[in-house]
Amino acid sequence: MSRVTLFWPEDPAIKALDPNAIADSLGLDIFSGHAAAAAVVCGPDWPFKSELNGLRHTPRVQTVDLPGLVGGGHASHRHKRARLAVAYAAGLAGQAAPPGEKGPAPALNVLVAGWGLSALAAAREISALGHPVLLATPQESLDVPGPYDDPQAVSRLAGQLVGGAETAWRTGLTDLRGAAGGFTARLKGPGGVWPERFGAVVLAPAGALRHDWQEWHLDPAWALPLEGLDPGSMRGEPGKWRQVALMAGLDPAGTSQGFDRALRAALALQKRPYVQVTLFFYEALVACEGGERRYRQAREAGVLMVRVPATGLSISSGGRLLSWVDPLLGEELELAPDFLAVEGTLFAPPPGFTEKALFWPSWSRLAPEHVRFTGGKSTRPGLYFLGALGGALDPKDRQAQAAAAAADLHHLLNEDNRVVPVINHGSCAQCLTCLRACPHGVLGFAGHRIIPAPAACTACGQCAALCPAHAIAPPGWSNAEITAGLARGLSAAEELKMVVFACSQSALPAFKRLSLEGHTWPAGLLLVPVICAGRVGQELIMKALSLGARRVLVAGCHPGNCGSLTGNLQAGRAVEKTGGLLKKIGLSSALVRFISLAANQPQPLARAVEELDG
Amino acid sequence: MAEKNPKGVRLNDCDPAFKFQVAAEPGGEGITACFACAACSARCPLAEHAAGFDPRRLIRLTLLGRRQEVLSAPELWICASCYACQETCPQQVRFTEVVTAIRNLAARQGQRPPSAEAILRLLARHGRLLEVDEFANDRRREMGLPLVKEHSEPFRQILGITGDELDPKSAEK
Repeated sequence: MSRVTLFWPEDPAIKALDPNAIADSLGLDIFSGHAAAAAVVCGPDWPFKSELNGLRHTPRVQTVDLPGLVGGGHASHRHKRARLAVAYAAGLAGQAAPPGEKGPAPALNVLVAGWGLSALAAAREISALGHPVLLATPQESLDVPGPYDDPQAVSRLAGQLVGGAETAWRTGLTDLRGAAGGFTARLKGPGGVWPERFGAVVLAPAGALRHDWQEWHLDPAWALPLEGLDPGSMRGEPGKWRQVALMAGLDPAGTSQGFDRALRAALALQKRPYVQVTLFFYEALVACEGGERRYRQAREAGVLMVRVPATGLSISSGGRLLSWVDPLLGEELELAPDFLAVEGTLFAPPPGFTEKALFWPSWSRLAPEHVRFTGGKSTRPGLYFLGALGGALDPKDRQAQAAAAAADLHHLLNEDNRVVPVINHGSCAQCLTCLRACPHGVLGFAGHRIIPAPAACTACGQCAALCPAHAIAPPGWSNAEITAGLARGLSAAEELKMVVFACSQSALPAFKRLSLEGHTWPAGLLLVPVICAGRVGQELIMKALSLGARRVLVAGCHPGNCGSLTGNLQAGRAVEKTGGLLKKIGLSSALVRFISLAANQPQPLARAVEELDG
Repeated sequence: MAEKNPKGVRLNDCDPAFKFQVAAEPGGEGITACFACAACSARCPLAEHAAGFDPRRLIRLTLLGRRQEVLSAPELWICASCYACQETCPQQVRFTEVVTAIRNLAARQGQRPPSAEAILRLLARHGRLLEVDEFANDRRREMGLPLVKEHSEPFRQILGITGDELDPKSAEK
């Protein structure tokens, strides 16, 4: 174990704590020059402190956000908690990283497959950030506008792009494998089929709105597509209001962009004199930018919201009479609208490759309506869906989406930000558990080796939680490192020892928020931050218990909200299994617990800690 | 297809202007923000005891424009103004003030509950909610306390201004 040095910046937030006492009791050197082999830095914002710049040359640095971890209580209680947090970080800093090989360098070039405004905007934004772009288009010229494009804007964009991007005419995508930094695409053009390596892939085919009138028993001669309504001509009279019914996508699997389009139309109509808009929808999908605000604006303007499942709305006379059961009143209501308009489903030709190519069971899982995947992002890092595939129709939205995707992929492929899982090929048994576990498709298998994609890893650590041979982990998150932190942290705790594994997306911000509000945590509570709760497998929980923890709490995001798709589920399963094991050896399964919470709702965390502590 | 189910309430027969009238009353502004999350219903201490009382139900009926149903609803007068709903509402609907706004509209239409009528009569007659008779004043005199006089005139004036006429029979005497 190397010498660990404690750095303590001048920060008013941690002034009340005594660094010398902490360093003495833990056997750490205290700040004296920059030559330490490993360092623990305390304080909330150390990277911005110029006097600590020398630390960049220190091989292993752990930072501790003390104000966020200590919480309230008496000075002696706060000192104990600070000592615990520093001890954990010191354990981590003092542990050498396991040996392993890093993956190949990422490809920086980007494939944009598609045509029309979205594809051109993406190609322009991406090449402006310095990435070589190949624009594979089924067309023969750049300035062919899509169905909802302004031809002038498209030809202007095409003019700006000349020389900025390589173009493959009449070319489509037939296969796609890999993830950010290491996609392999098979392209098919007039010259034949050829494979090419890309760092990121943007799919932006021009699409169109589709209305399935028949399926919903609507009379197409009477019901209108949403774009066919002209708000300017609509007006009623006092005592004789115009009733307009809008349907925000009849497909239950709607998108937030589609719901947003319906909200905008509803707002424009509701502002007309003596016009009452009733908006029918299956779910209020507000994950797009400004969606929640617009939902509220529409309600405040007086739009009547009717949330009804598709099967609960009965449509008769081709849409001239609608009836449904209001779930709140429990009564049947009906409306004979003067106008009925329907938001269509955005439809784009599916990409030419099979879903199996990307190792996911279904196409919809790649582009979910998910709060963590906006701006054209998909669940596969480095793969983007723009325009019709990404649910955006409005030209402004599409330009913004293209810019967001460009910024995101630039960040992903940037050398400084890359995370590559470290694989110890010597102990890898090639059981392919990690391939199945990785929700981001980072890992591939070629030449009897696990090959990680160079830029797609988010360090969620689900591979490390499940690998039976401890052969893979994101750098800094191996079992050995976390165990070293646990060992040192738990040995520094005096009272009832409790370990809380906190997901960085939900539980960690919740914990920090409660701490800053002065919540008093138990003195023996050791917080272990993890990128995703999925990092916590049975192994780590058992390690924590064997090192002296009397209670273990794993806190992750709510089901369906996990940025790594399955991390929270996996953590829940690990806790359940460990509980079963504890029961078998005669202990209570209640010693280990999993909870799910949101970052802005910290109370469940405080409650769970209280219950475990009691 | 023949128009079916005559039992259902038809939104065409409701009054879309009603919610705007409520919103135009002081305190009623927040009503349209409601998205029926039921946080108020869960917190309301009265909903447990008074069957049928549910803040969001009143809001929903108002938003649907069912004017007569809302203004004549006995539940309108059950709310005890404890402000539990107002504190918990994630959309800042301020139901306690909304219900006051709706009550004002109802009162203006003459839809007052009997208890409110009784209160009005007492105020107009005695200037206070409790009659102070000679017996009470005698006792006050014995105990050396100042006598209480009834000042009902200002109340009559106020009630006259708002158009709330007293029942002539009870006002005499």
